[in-house]
Amino acid sequence: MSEFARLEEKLAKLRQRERIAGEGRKLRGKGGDALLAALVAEIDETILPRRLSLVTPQGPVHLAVANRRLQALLAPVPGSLPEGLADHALPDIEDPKLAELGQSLKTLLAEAENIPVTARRLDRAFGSDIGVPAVQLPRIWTVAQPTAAKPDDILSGFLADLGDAALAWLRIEGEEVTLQGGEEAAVAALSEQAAIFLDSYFGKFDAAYREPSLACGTVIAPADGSANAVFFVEIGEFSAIIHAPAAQMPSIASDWQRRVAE
Amino acid sequence: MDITAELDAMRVDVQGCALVAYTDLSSQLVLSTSAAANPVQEEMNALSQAAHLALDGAIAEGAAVSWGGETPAELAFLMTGAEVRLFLRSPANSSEALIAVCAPDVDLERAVSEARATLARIGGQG
Repeated sequence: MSEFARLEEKLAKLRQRERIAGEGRKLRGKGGDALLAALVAEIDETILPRRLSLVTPQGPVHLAVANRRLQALLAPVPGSLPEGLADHALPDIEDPKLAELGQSLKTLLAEAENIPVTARRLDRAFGSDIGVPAVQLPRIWTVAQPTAAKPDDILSGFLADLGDAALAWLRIEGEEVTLQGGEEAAVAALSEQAAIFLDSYFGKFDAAYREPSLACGTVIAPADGSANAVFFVEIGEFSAIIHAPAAQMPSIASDWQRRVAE
Repeated sequence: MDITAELDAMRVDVQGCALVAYTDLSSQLVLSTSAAANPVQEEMNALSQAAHLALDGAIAEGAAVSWGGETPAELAFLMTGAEVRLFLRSPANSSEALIAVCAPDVDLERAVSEARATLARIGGQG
């Protein structure tokens, strides 16, 4: 992946701008069971270390999450949550405070509906052995397993189905290019040009997208239908940048939207 | 037909299209609008700003290197799970563009085709 070193260096700098600070969305559902299940899905989509903040009717609840694991409830906590749960690192599913946290959150969210949630960079590091995998939380919290397709599966399916419609594409996770498609020269050109596009995209993201959304897709195309156009997709913490002929973009973009439309 | 009537016609013809507007990219002002419900001015200002960013502004400039950078962007989509915003530059007046706000699963090929036809008719009136 050394040919992507410059792009990954640029991505690392762009991520430092902390766009995630303004990246809010909602846990959708009504009542404790539904909202806790939505929280599990949110944890399952969070790979990089993040402080997830839920805006509940009784005040904000902050959670440390990384690598699809719930690591801790962070202080300060609303008055209705036991103080003893705050800042307690959760090593595994056997920790009795995990069940207590689930029950406390369920009670706190009993009357709530569609809770806003924001993700910020986590400023406190927990050990890599700390955290309960999201996939284990439904059993201990007695809530439904998330059934919606996962962001990485959605992106993988979309990229796999691109076929010859795209000239080149790069899949990006966090700050790394993890997969590529297309002929070598086209991929090399895309990796060169992607940094320029992403610099302007991240710089103006908040002006272009004012409503939070799990998935965003941006197409910019010239009038010449045979010339390269750019398609950048983001879903959760996964993204991809695609070069394809401008004339193909409405079809490619429609395919993406079919997978992410709410 | 006047411009508003053309925008009305496109909004009706494209299923899932809630708003169609005609904007001046340089001044970032909406010149004419057709909408199912009266949009608030703040929403129109945001759409004009987004059209500028995607066709003439920083995001367009960042993308243009992909096609050599000698011609401006003509078409842009800004899409979320909740909606699609389509921006298409007028062939008759490059500082003007059509904006459409549509459902997230709108048929984009049809929407772009209708937008081109609408702009051709609007340009023909000049």
